[in-house]
Amino acid sequence: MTPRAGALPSLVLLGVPGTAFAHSPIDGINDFYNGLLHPLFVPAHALLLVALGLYFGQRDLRESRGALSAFLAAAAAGLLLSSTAGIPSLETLQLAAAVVVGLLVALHVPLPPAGRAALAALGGMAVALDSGPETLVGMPRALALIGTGVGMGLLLLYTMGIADYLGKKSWLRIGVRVAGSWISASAVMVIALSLSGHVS
Amino acid sequence: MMRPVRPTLALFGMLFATVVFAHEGDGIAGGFASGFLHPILGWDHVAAMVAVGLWGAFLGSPAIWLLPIVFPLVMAVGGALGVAGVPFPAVETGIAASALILGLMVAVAARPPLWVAAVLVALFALFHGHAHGTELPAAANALAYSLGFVIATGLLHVCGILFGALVHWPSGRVAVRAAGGTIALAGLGFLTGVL
Repeated sequence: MTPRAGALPSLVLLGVPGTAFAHSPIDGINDFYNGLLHPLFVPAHALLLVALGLYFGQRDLRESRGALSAFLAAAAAGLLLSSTAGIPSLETLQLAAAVVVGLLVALHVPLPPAGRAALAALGGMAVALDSGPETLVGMPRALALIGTGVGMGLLLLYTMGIADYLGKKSWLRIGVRVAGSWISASAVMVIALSLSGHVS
Repeated sequence: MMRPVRPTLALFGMLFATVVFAHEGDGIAGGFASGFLHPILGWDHVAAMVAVGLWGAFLGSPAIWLLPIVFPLVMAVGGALGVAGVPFPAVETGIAASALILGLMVAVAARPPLWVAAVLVALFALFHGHAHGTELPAAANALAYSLGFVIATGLLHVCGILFGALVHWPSGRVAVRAAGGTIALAGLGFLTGVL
């Protein structure tokens, strides 16, 4: 077919465009994606998960296997329990945990294996309990919760990987510690703002 | 024929320009932007932050990482005090003095014990933090604002550290000390009201 002959069918096709569906038409996938992105869109959650990721990434990754398992188990339990009515806002707890973990990163404080596991479990539970979608029930809710669990895990793992990678050079290790101090400083400010009633 | 028409059309179009809201003062993005710009738009903040980085680089390890860690942490405490309405004496004077003192430390190549340097930096961090805390925009997202000014502060430290890396060369040491002297002069200007 010559270019000129192909132009006519193209012009005809241009005259009958249909709606483009950029996202998959599979039912429920939007709830999953919303859940996946949820940890990123709640600043207190992201702060705590990033702080945890930096802490575990600073250390030998093999030492963190137990802590990772504890995190996953606690996150799963927290997500299941998030549908329980009457759970108060955990933002202050999350921010307080971010202060502590940020300090641990900044000061490069080692913890025993039980301490690391407890830290990971506390962080996972605190974020997961606070992540239940209030307006969803049934399968959409389940998909959103699964997405949130995956999102939490990915954020933690990616941050761990970045911290581990940056740990290869001494000056980059300093950068990780500085980032920890930034997290603590920000969380302190927000706690102060919350207590004084300034938080929006 | 087209060449003179295009600029004419463009100029004509400019007559119908409407107001463009490039930033929002509220929400997460606006809060972060407000917080990020707050230290950067204050020359007294910039001078002192860069001086912390310069001095840390000058003192070498562990001060090079300890000072940029101590500063934001204590600054947050100062910020919390500011938010809580705890009065702080002469905040602006303290901020101006921080540029003067820290600049002088670099200019005269002062090498006090690490704890003295850390305490001095922490003291001035309280003043800076208090100023940031009391000037939080009402509509800003608190965490985003806090992250913004903490990150901006840290990046200013990094600027000082990067310039301070010149101390590895003899002429670089002169340049760094001269930079400290400039900052000290600026601090004097802030204190006296000349700047």
